[in-house]
Amino acid sequence: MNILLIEDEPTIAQNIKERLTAELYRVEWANNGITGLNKALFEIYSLIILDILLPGLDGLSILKKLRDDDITTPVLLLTALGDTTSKVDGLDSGADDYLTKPFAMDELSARVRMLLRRKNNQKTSAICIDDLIIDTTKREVTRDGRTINLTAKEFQILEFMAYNKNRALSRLTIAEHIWQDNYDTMTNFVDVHIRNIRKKVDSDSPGKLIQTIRGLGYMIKDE
Amino acid sequence: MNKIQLTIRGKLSVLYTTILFGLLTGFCVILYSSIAYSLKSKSRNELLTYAHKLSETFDKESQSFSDLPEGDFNANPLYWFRMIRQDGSLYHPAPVFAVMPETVSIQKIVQSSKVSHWFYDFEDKEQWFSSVVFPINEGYQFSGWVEVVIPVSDEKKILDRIGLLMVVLGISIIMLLFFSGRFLARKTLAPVEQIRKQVDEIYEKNLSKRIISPNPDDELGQLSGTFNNLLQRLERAFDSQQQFIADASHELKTPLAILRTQWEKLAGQQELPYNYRVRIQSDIEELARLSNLINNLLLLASPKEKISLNDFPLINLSELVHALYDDLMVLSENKQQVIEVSITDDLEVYGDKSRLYQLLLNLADNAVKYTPENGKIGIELTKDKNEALFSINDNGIGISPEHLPHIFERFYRVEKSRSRQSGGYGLGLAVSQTIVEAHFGTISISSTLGSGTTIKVNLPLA
Repeated sequence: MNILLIEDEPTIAQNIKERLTAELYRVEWANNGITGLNKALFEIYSLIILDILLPGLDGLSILKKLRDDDITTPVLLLTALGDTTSKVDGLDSGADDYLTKPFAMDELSARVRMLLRRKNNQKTSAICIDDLIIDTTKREVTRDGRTINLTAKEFQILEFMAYNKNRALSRLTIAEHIWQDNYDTMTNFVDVHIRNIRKKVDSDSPGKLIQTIRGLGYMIKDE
Repeated sequence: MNKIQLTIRGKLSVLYTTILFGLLTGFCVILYSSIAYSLKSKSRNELLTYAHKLSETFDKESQSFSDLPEGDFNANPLYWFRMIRQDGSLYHPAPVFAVMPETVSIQKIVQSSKVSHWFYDFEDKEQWFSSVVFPINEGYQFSGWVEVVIPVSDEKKILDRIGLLMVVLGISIIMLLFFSGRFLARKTLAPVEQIRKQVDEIYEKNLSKRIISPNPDDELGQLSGTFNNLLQRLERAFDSQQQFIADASHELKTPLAILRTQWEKLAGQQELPYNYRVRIQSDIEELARLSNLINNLLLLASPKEKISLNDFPLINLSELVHALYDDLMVLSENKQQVIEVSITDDLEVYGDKSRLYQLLLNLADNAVKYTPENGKIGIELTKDKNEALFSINDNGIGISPEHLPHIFERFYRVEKSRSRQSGGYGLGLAVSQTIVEAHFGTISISSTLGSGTTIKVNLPLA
């Protein structure tokens, strides 16, 4: 799948590119607004990752131009502004999702996958890990055929961990995923939620899927 | 009514009125007393003339007056005289008066001076009289006193009329002056009110507006000019502040974003020693705290935009508080605190959902932090007239009274060492207040040391 990345900050762009390439996407990088717009207009992408503050032409103008030209490619906005007005602007202007800088790469990766999944309109959008099946459309979880009832937040966390399986997710990254904004003391929540998820998912099964990587966070292990 | 306008206008008219009242009263008193004095001296002169004449023209032999102004005494029943001997007995030469008004007693006359005369005034049967007691000594045909009484009712009437006229005219003039003073003051101060209204309409959003004065050359016009210069400087400072905030936001966050992506990559590298990765992970958390701090500082530093509430989307505050309850249950789990909840459903406000949730969570987080294990925390959302009232109370450690007034100040921490450990920068309540104010609401806190804290937030309902 082709992803267009329009981002002027080379280090961030490089890291995004590396991460997404490692996840087997093909990433094209434009480092200014005008190149970015041209690529977006004349080539076909599955997803566009778009920074707002750009040299040449700003992200919101690019987005407006794309939508005016009936290009419906999903757009993930990156913004350093972080304040309400630009967020509202972002979603009103036709963006499908936005991320506030600084963001966790795991978060970006999960968002990219969700956007692509939504775009492809997959009927069976289940993630299977061992005998755990997470149906992201129906928001149902089963383990070894047995239905597990999770709260909305627990489901979000489990889904997020499943998208990033075999990767240690820090409490910070998980907290940011659930509450979007980076509040002061969210990380405390995560431990409690993880404990509850564990109780429901792991306690009745011999294989423990959710692992604690001390000092690094939590991980779903898929052999 | 504006306070300043009242004060200056009121002051001016009260001052004018007081001064004029003083002047007018002084004028009236002087005029009145000089008229009274001349009327009195006129009647006294008349009395003395009669007394002299009586004493000089009395002839002992004929027992009569050689040149008595009898006309006066006979023609007018209000003119009297009487003669008193040294021993106090009355001596009655002609004419003899049938009715004598109630004058002083003979006793008093006998005891009085034998050398100098004295006057007195009295009232009898609604007539006013003036009287002289005049001693007559050796060398005259009669020795004793002659007492003369003449009517002064006319003079008294004139004096009373003048007095009444003065009071009535005086009061009407004072009232006229007071109201015309107020009117004049208002007229003079009208441009001030005009300027005030214009200044009142200037917010951060329209700092480019300038004050228009009706007469640019008078003192008020100059004042407006001074205001306009001030506005110019403010506008410039404000623009550069906003530019600074925007720049700082970008400039601070970009390196943070770069650091974060780099370090996350490192933390994820399996080939790095485990303890390195853990160290890096904890640094990432410090980074997140730093960007959180920057976010809050920018929120506090950004101008309090006077955007109208309708610029916000409509949100269901009740749902938000329900969500808060869910999070609060989780947050308080480690300390086994009891959560009591009461939420009125379907209360809607115009607002920024994420900011409002930040506010609610700030308050809930504080409650959990400062309430001991097994403590009690209550959250409540009710409708209070046209406002939504959110309150959160706990039976925690409370805040001592000397800290309460400062609790909403930036970077204020009650216990410096301890709060730092619990992870705050002392911005939580300042941020909460800023968020509430941006939503046209109010926030208040009450607390008793040792027995708990209650925070109330009022937000206008949609």
